[in-house]
Amino acid sequence: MPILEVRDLVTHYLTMQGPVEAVSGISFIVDEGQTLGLAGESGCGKTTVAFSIMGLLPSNGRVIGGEIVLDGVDLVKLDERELKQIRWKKVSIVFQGAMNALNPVINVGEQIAEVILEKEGGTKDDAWERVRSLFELVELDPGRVKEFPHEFSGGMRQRVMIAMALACNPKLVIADEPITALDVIVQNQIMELMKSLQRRMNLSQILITHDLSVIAETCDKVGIMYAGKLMEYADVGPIFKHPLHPYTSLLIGAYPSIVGEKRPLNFIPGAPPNLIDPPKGCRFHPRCPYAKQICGSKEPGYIEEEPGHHAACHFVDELRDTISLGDG
Amino acid sequence: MSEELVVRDLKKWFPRRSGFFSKKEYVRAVDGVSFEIEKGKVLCLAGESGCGKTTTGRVILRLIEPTDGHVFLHGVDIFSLGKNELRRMRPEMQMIFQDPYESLDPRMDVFSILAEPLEVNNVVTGYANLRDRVHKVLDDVRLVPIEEFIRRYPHELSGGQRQRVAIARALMLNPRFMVADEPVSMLDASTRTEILNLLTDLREKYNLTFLYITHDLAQARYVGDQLMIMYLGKVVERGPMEDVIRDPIHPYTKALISNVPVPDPSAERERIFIEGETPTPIDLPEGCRFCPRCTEGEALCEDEEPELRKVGADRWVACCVA
Repeated sequence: MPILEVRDLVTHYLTMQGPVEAVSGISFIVDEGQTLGLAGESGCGKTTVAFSIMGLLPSNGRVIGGEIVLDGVDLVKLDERELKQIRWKKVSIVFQGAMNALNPVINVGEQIAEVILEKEGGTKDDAWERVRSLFELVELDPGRVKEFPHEFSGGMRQRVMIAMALACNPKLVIADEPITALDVIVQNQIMELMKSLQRRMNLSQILITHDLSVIAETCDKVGIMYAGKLMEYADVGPIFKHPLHPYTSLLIGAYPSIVGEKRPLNFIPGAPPNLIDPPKGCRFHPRCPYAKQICGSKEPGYIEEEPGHHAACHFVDELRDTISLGDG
Repeated sequence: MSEELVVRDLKKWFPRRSGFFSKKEYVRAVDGVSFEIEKGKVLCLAGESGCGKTTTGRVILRLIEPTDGHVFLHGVDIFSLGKNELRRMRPEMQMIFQDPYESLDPRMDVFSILAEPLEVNNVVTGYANLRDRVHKVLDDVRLVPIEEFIRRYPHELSGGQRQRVAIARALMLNPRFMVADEPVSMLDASTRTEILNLLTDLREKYNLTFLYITHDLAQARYVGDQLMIMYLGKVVERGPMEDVIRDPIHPYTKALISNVPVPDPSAERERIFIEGETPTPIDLPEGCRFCPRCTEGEALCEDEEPELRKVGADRWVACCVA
C-alpha cells in the first residue's frame, strides 16, 4: 500500500536571473514500511524534493505543479495552517548536519518536548516522559535529556535528531543525508538503528544521499535523479545489476568498492547543467557518451520499461547490454 | 630501495588549558608516528576523524611546528632547518587541500594563482617564461582549452576544475613530495575518478612521492601502494594496500574495513559491530588505545601499550593479541 505518491512534481526557485527549475516533473511512490532512496549529484534536486514534501521550501521556492499525496491527502493543496497539522505528526525529517539543525543554547530534551507540546498538547510531564522513552528508543541514556547539543558526539546528535523526528509517531520519515558527516563505524550504527526502528514501528522512509553504496545497503527502491529529473526508478536489485539508463550505469561504475577485484572506475566528463537554462531534450545528453541527435531535441518519456522499472532514455533497448553491470 | 620520506617518532601535542589555574593538559593529536615512503610511491594514510591524519600531514610539511620527532625528505632533516633554509626547501614539498572552494583566493584569476609561487620564489622571470610555464602545467592537469580557463576566477569554475587549479598550483615549482589531504572528498562521484586518474598520471610524469590522506578506504584502494591506519594519534597497522584490505590484522582495521559500505546490494558481508565513538585524545586510556572498544581485547591490553611490530613481509601491526 502506498503511503506517499508524488506525481509530476515541479518545484522552482525564483531568482533574479529567472526561475531555477530545481525539480521538473518527477513521480514516485513510497510503500508502507519501505525505504525509497533518492540519489544523485549535488544540485540534482533531491533535497528540494524533500523540502517540497515537508512544505519547508525557502521563501523563493514554489511548488509549481503536481501532487504530493500523503495518506490520501494532497499536500500541495493545503495551506500553511493545515500543513502544520501534518508536519511532524504524519511526516517528519532528519536534517543533514545535526550540529546546525539543533539549537545550541537549549537542552536537547526541551527541543524535543517542544515539538510534542506544540503538536500534541498534553502536560509538560507527559512530554518529558515521552522524551525519555524516545531516548531509550534511539539507544541514548535517558539521564542525558537535559544536556546540550555540544555535549554529545556526532553520532549521538544524529540519534537525538532521529528521536525528534519520531516524537509524534509519523508514518513517513525523510532522512536527508543523515550519516554524511559521520565516520563509517558510526554510520553503520545509525543505519542499523534506523533499520530496526523501521521494522518495529512500521515506518516508511525516504533516504536522500549522494552515496550509492549506502543506498545499495539500506533501500528497497531507488530513484536516480539528475538535473531535476528522475532518470531511473526501480527496485534496488535491478538498478545495481541491470541499470537501463546510461547515467545510472556510469554513476554506479564511478563508486570504488572495497570488496572483489579492483575494476577501473568510470567518470562522467563535464558538470551538471545550470537549471536556469537547462539543456533541451534529455538533460543528461551533453555528458552522455551514447547521445545521438534526437537526445538534444526531444525529451525522452519516463517509461515503465519493465514491471516496476522506469527509465527516461531514448535508447533503453539498444543500450541494454552495453551498460548492464551484471556481476562485474 | 630508496626512501624519499622518512618519519621517525613524530609527535604533535596541542596544549589545552581549561581554566587559568588548572593543570595544563595536552591533546595528543599525533603521538609517536614512524613510517617511510619509497620514491615514486603513494602511501595512503587513513582513519576516522580526529585520528591525527591531517595533523601528521601538516607537521611533516612544517605548516605547523612539531612537538618532537624527525622528518627526512631525501635525507634532509626538515625539522632542523632554519627559516631561510626551510623557505628554499618549500618548493620541493607541496600540499593539495581538501576544499577547493576555500583554498583558492577568490580575487585572483587562474593565471595569477599559478604565477604567484613562481614569482615569490624567483624561479621564473619575465612574462613570456611565466606564461609558458603556466600553460605547460595547465596542460598537464588537463584544464583545456587553456585560453578559456586562464583568465577565469575560481567562482567561474566547477569543483573539479577548481581542484585541477589547486593541483596545478602545487605542481608549479616541480615538487618531489606532495601531501594530498582528502583532495576529492568535496567532489561529486562522477568527477572524482577524473581527479584520481589525473593524480596517478602526474605521479609518473613528475616522479612524485605522495602522502595521500583520506577517510575513505574504498578510495584509498584505488590510489595507494601502501596503506597506513591511524587511531587516536598512533599507527595501528601498515602494509601493502591489497594485503591490508584483503587480510587486515588489527581488530580496528578489521572493523573499519567491514563497515565500509559497498555499491552492490547483493554483496553478503559480515559486519563487525563496534560500540561507541572515538574519544578525544586528551584522557587517553592506559595500555592499548583501542582496548575500550576492541572486540578481541584481553586483560593484558589494558596495561600494555603495544608497539608497532613487524609481522610479515612489510606488514606492521600494533596489537598485543593479533
